[in-house]
Amino acid sequence: MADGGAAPVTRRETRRQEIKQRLLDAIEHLTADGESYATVSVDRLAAHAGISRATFYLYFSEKKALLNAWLEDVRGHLNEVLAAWPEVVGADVTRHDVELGLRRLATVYRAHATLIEAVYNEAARDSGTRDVLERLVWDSIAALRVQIERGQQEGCMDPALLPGETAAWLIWSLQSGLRDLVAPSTEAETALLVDAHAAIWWHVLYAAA
Amino acid sequence: MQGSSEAEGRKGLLRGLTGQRLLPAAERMLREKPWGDITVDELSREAGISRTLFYNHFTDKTDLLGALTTDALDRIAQAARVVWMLPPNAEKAYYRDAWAHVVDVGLHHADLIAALADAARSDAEARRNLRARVSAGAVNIERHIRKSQESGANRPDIDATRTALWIDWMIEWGLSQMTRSGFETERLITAMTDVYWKATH
Repeated sequence: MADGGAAPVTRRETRRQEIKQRLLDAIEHLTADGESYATVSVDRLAAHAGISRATFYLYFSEKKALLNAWLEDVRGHLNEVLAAWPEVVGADVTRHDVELGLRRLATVYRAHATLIEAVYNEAARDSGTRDVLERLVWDSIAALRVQIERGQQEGCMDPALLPGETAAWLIWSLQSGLRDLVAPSTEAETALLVDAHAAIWWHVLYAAA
Repeated sequence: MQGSSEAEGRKGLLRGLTGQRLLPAAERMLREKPWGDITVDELSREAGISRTLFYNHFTDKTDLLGALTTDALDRIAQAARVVWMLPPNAEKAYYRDAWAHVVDVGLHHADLIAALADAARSDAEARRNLRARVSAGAVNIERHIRKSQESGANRPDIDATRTALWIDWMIEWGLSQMTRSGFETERLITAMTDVYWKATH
């Protein structure tokens, strides 16, 4: 009993994570081949991921729960990235740092574009998914707001900015632009789009400090 | 002659049906729940028309939404012309007043705009409509940035085309989110003007 009582739970969680990843990969494959998340069956999804239908239901109550679990992951990841922002870039942030940060975000977004589309589609008909998606956006706005307030205290961001409201507009721009501009663009066009967006962030947040 | 006046009559009937029955019904219902949760049956009942009459004029709910929002979007585009007409060297305060005007008009139709934004999440047709609108709006922003660049009022290194696209999506999406955000409208307008100003100057 050296590994204590928590170990089986941890193992179950590890196993769940592993299966979730396989299922998400399966969704991306299937949707990339033109199938839609809404119509693909659990059977087909499980088969494609190399697991049984029973195993699917052992870890997820329904198809929707899988997507919501992924969204929660994204939310956690995004919050980590935003919370670590000042440690990563420091007070002597340059325009190049801003470009790098947004480029990384765009790359991740493009890599998961089909999954994200599935989330948007699901959110239109399911209030649970809609809530998780909206929480993700509000969380991002709140996190950026904290960063703006901190940046203003440290003197690297424009002291005249309204932190919450400015955060809201920048996140709204990012959210809609990633989906409607970045996702459908070629890689070369994405690079130009990201540069233009980074210029906006740079001039709005930092340049006037 | 006869035929064309008949067609005119039909068009007038449709306008009346849309503007006087379905528009107020939709706006009433949107105060209660999101567009995605409203059915054609409920909407027809609220508007006091039959389901058959609805489907005589509209192929589906999205088709209706297109008719309902065209007018609102036209008014917003019209309001935005105040911004585009500002001279390149205008002070920031004038931009704030101009954007406040646009937001005013936008908020007047906030529920409909939010419904369009919601529908565009999943409906390809609604999405195409919204994209076409944004592209048209972005052309105006781009032209405005270029005009200022030529006059030397703003930075020559701005990528006018792509900056305009980001800004336009920001405004279009932001207008639908403003009332849900919990932020004060006046402060949101100030922040938006600041973003626009710094992004384009």
